[in-house]
Amino acid sequence: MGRVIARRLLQAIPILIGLSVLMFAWVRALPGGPAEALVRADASAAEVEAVRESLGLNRPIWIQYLAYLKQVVQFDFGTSLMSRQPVRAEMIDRFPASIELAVSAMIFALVIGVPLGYYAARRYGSALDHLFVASSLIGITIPVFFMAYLLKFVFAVQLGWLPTTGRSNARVESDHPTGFYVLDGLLTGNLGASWDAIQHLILPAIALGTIPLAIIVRMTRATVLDVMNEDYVRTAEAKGLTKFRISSRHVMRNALIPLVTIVGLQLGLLMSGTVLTETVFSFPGVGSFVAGALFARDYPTIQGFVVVIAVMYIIVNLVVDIAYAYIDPRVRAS
Amino acid sequence: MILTAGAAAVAAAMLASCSGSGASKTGGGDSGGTFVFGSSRLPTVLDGAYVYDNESQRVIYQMFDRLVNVKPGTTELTGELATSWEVSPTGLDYTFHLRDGVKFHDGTSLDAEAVCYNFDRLYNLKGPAQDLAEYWRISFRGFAGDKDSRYKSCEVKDPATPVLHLKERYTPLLASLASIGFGIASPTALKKYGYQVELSGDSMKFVGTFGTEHPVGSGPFQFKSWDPGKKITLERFDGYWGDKAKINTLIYVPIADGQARRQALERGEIDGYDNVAPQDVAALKGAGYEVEERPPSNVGYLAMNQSFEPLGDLRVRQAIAHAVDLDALLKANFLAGAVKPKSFLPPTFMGFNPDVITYDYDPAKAKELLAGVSNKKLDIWFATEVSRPYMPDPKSIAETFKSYLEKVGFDVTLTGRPWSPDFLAGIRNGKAPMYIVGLLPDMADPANFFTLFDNQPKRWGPLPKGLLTHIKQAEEAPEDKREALYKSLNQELMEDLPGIPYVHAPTHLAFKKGVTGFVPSPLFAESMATVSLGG
Repeated sequence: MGRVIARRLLQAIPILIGLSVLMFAWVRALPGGPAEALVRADASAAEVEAVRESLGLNRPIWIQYLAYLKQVVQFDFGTSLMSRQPVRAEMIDRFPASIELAVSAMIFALVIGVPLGYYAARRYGSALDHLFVASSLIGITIPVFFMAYLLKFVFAVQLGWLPTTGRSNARVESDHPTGFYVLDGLLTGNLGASWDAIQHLILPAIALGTIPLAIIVRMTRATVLDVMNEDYVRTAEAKGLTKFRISSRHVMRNALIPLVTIVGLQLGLLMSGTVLTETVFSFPGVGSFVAGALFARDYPTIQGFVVVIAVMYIIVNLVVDIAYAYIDPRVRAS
Repeated sequence: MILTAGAAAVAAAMLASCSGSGASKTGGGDSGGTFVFGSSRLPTVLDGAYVYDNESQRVIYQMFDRLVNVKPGTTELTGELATSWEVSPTGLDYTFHLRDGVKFHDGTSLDAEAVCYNFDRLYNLKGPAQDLAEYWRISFRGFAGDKDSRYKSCEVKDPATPVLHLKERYTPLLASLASIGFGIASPTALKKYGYQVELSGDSMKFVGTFGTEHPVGSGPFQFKSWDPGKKITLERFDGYWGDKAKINTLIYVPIADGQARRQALERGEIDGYDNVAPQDVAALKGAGYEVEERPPSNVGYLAMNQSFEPLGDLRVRQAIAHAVDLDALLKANFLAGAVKPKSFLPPTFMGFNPDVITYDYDPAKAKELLAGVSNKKLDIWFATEVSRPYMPDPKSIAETFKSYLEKVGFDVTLTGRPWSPDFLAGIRNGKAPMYIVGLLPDMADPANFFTLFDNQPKRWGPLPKGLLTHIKQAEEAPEDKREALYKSLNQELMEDLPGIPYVHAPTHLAFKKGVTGFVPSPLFAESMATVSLGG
């Protein structure tokens, strides 16, 4: 197992270097530049040139790249042009928000999707099964932003049950030792703050979790159906085991194997889905910030976040592989 | 859909049954004087020396006083920290008489020494900090060591009398000193926390923490906390020299989308917000919200860069002006309250001239002027991904211009570019033949509008030399001569016609029911100290 992990980590190095070169070249190929983005609207060309010079943008590009690489290995991603905060501080601030949102969306998708998928498989061919399959197909096809607007309009604007924007109520005082607001409330004994954070998470999490939910329903249904037709399940039934024991020990454990891969991949995809959800709900996470950075040509932010998100993808995939090996002994043996 | 929406409904219903109404229960306007304001974004820094945008100004304005300010809701200058002042006949020496007993939030005294420390610190900014100090550069042109700096020194005549000495006359100085760039900060805090700026990769970072964690001024509100990206919290300063703020706590939260700001107001998550979308004004008023309108003090214009043919020909520019029905354009793109301009300078400013040459809607005359002109190709640039009071929907305004211009025989191409940096850089570098843009003033002086023409030569192409000379003369002339000079400049400008001013547009803020005391300002000089939440 150790060798597998080490090999995967070594494989990640050339991927990251290649990615950093691509990012660096691509961002600089965009029209306009950081100096133009930094000055006021009516600045003169001479003022822009002065800023270019201060920023070192007139140096050869490879020197700029090496300087950038040197900073990156020290986890210094520069300062955001938009917010003028260090990009690292923005990351520390915003990643917990998006991770909290993505995890909430995944919990929503799993808690509802797995039982529904299982139920549909057990009632294979019934009207309910057909309804679930058709609904999940529609679920996959609804764009995230549409779902987000719909939920916001109905449950926040019209019914007024949940907040429309942000991550917490501005009037609620709270401390954030970890940046994960729900957890922070629990850690600091401020249950009101935790509840407030949960209220702010519900609609974005549902909007973001819709597609994974639909996929998980279909995936669970398909794998449960496969597993139920396996010989060992028939054997277990013939042995007279209880239904619960058969489904928990023989069916679900085996059905979970492909599901773990899907959850891992979906978690990665959810991070990109946060762009739209966070924008609709003005949720201060990574997605909305990077989207803003792209429009503002905020080079340091774009570069920094892309590198870190790539690292996260690699880690998530690694974790999925390990989890896969843990659940499926055949993978370990190979 | 049924599945997912159903699940959503179940989850939300469960929640609603146990929580009741979210935000309105936990807070609300009646929660002991906390006012939550929805901005489109939070400031970049809370040191007025380094900002040049309305969202930063909005917050900084509450914490810092200036030597002079504008009277609420007007462009007329009045004393703030200075109760009176004298300008020497040469226009080079400004003597201010300070208000007695003013304290900074940290308890130190605001005296002449503190004032001079502030000016000297700006003059002595180094390296990248100079790039950010826009207000200083506009007013004093250069820093220590620069030959062309207007600043000479600041003298402490006595503890209540600082004197600013200039190397050359700059008459808009007082108007400029009323901007947030010249808010007087506590020297003790500046020294203790620092205000240095350093290069960091492709950007600049604030090394000193004065502007990020410890901004200390003498205004009606003092800094409490800044949760980057989420909120800034200010508290009433009970040691304020003037009328104390009516609300205890003032919180700014960022909500980028205008529709989301409206929804947040309607849900009681915020108590007020700026930049109300024009289409929301009537609905909010109808629903009983307090809607405030800023006097239309900006200008939107269609610029014509004379380096590009056929725009170098005055007859063509005149034909363009005659071809467009501005009344119809305003009706199609703006709300009632938008004003059709006489010239670039709005009527709220000194030097406004109602009797300049005008170009009425007259397609026949436009065609007549175009007789003999063979090149009738025009390229109008408009900005995408942006909305400004003077161009709520730039594309729609561009299309209106195009339809009128094509009626008189022009062949018009529309070019959309992202606002920053593509569009702005295109203008600055002289790549846009015609473009729709505008100006939001931040200084109570007509120079604000006219520097547009001599600051970025490439954006206009060759302008008459006389015009540029007269702009400089008007900036430097003694106060009593300036009004006449600006009146004549307006005429001169409209004769040369480097662009067609099409609107002075009002902007709106909305507040929850019962909020009173907000005075909208044409220069965004808006204090929250007079605001109360009501019942």
